[in-house]
Amino acid sequence: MREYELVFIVRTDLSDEAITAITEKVDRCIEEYNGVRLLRESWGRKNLAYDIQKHSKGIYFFYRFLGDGDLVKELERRLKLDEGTLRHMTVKVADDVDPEARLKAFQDDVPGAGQDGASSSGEGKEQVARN
Amino acid sequence: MKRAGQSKSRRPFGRRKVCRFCADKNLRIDYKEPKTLKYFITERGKIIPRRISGNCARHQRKVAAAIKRARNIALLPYVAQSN
Repeated sequence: MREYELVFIVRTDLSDEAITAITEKVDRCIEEYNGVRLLRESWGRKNLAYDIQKHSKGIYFFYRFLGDGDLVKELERRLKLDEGTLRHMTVKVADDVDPEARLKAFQDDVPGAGQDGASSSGEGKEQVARN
Repeated sequence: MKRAGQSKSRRPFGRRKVCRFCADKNLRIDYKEPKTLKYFITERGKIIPRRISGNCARHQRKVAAAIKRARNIALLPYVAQSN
């Protein structure tokens, strides 16, 4: 399986439920396609370097996961259709990754600070368990 | 060798600045880190050429690619104002 990083930006004027609905969508999609979620972070609200669809701030979410091309295609399709997402970008990090070894590497990490930091320096890490 | 035209920077050993990333192996080039990347863009947001930044070819390419990615997700600007 390949390892990917996904960053997407959510509008700030959505309700909390709507925002969690989006992240749930992503999680569900990863599961559906037999992917492995390695990391899920929220970088919180940040100022955008330029306005996107008239918004000057956005909520950044960061995912790291293992999967194959079909998963990525579907993820991007769903993110593109959602009206709450402003941008998304998927980047391939590695090819040919052993899922169990990689997953273990992430679960051995010490859990970091809370996940809703708006700071641009820190990245709140949230431990992820595979269910 | 022809010397057509006026080129002022024709000194044989112009700059021998070391590449920042070659020197410090721990410095990571990551599109998610605008902090490190912003040293390689001008005030207008343009990517600084290698002969100014001092990067080696390999790292300059990585920096440029990272900057372009960061621009994509609005972590760095495409064009910035310099007042």
